[in-house]
Amino acid sequence: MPADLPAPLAHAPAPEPVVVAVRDVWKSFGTKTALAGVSLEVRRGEVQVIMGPSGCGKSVLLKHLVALLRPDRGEIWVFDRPLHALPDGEIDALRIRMGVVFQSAALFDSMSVGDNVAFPLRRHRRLTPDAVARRVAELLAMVEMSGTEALPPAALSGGMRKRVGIARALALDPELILYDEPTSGLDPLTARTVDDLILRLRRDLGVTSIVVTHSVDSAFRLADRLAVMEAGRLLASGTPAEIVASGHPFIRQFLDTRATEVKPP
Amino acid sequence: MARRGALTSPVEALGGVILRALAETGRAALMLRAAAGWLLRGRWEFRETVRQINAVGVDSVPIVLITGLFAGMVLAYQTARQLLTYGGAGFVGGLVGLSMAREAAPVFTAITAAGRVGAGIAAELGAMSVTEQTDALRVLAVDPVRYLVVPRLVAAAFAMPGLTMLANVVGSLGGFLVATSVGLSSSTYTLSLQQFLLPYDVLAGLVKATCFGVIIAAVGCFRGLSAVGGADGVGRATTGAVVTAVVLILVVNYFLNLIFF
Repeated sequence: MPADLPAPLAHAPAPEPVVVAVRDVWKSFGTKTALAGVSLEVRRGEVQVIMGPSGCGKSVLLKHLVALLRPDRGEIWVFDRPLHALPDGEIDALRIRMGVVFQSAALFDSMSVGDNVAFPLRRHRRLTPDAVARRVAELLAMVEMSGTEALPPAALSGGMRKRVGIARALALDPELILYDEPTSGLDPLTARTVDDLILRLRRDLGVTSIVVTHSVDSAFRLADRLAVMEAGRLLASGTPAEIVASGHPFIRQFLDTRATEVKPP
Repeated sequence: MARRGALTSPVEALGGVILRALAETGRAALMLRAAAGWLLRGRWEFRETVRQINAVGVDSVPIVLITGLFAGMVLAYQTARQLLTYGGAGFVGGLVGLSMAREAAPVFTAITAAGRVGAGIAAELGAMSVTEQTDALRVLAVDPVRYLVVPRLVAAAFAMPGLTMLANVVGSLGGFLVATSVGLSSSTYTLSLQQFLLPYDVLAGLVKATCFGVIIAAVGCFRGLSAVGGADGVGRATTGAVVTAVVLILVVNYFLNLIFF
């Protein structure tokens, strides 16, 4: 090694491994192109936010990451496995390592809150009924919903449903959680508590998170790294500071909506 | 090349309808193949199946009792009135029993079930589809065909013969009440019933009922899982499930008649 090599390089931390890699993914529905050559990498432990206006393709991208949709072209690697090329039978093994929080929470109407959270445990873990009940209580406590086991999902508010959805997504100790518009349809205070919960889960559990949102406030509150999408394309990706410094006119216009929201009358 | 926005020709429209119908048939066949795969591997949800047998079978009993009873009564009323005029009293019981066992009980029960059970399945699964609950099942590594479709198919295939048998019994009973009230003796009715109605007729009717049960559940599941949009999509799935099931029941009934009788 040359003697004049700068000393800090020797101590630079190794980058975290890539958990999700999206490479030049294309997807069309009929004549409408939803994704046009999207590429993105998410490293372990990061909160990666994908931000953009409604209909820009961010939820479509999220669905590709759990193989609810398959790309027309391009590659999707999750946990070093080629999700785009795996047969249906092998995808479930990867899905068990991920948690998904849906925009509508997608709680099962026919089950109580407790049964919703217990559902993945009963399907994929060999636990006694007592152990399941204990784990459900623990998960509900984690999202500040203790004591709601017997309630039907219809009795919950939007924010409570999202919290139960998060508890269900956490049931199998996932290494990666995907949030689809976690604060959509919530009032600003409730939205903030859901954001805080996402950050707390990352801090306490170290779980990698990918959050899709159209809320600029949520995006900047949550993101370690931020990607901005428009019309199926990824316009920019980087740290929030890099995105703010971006000179792209669409990004500037999109970020300005936050300033407009808080402008006094 | 056709100009965008121009009126489509009738041939083009017909082609579009045929292509859509073929695509739907293909998707339905894939769903049934997946369901058959789970069944053959013996991996089906016991608890969910029992719950569905209750929903499809037990909850349908009152409405089947009413339709079966009145079907038997109207058959007896029409046949007794005509046959008594020509001295054919000895045929009334047999005619009612045979008509109930071969046609009225399986077909009326199936049409009633298509309205109640098929619509219910399509609405429930449709609501689950449009609120992302079926996607939630997939990402929780649970195949919706295994968890939702197979139990409903099995439940309908088991429950429909039971309901049809019930309709047979109450139909013949209703026929007895009406026939005796228009002047037929009770012994003539029961003797005729015993003479003309063979176990084969009842059994063939029950086999038909099993086929109709599979049609009702399969169509309800397919329409429900294909629902898109919001409440409107669920409504269209429900209506489509009933119409398709009733048409298929009547068409398949004809061909089963050719085979059985």
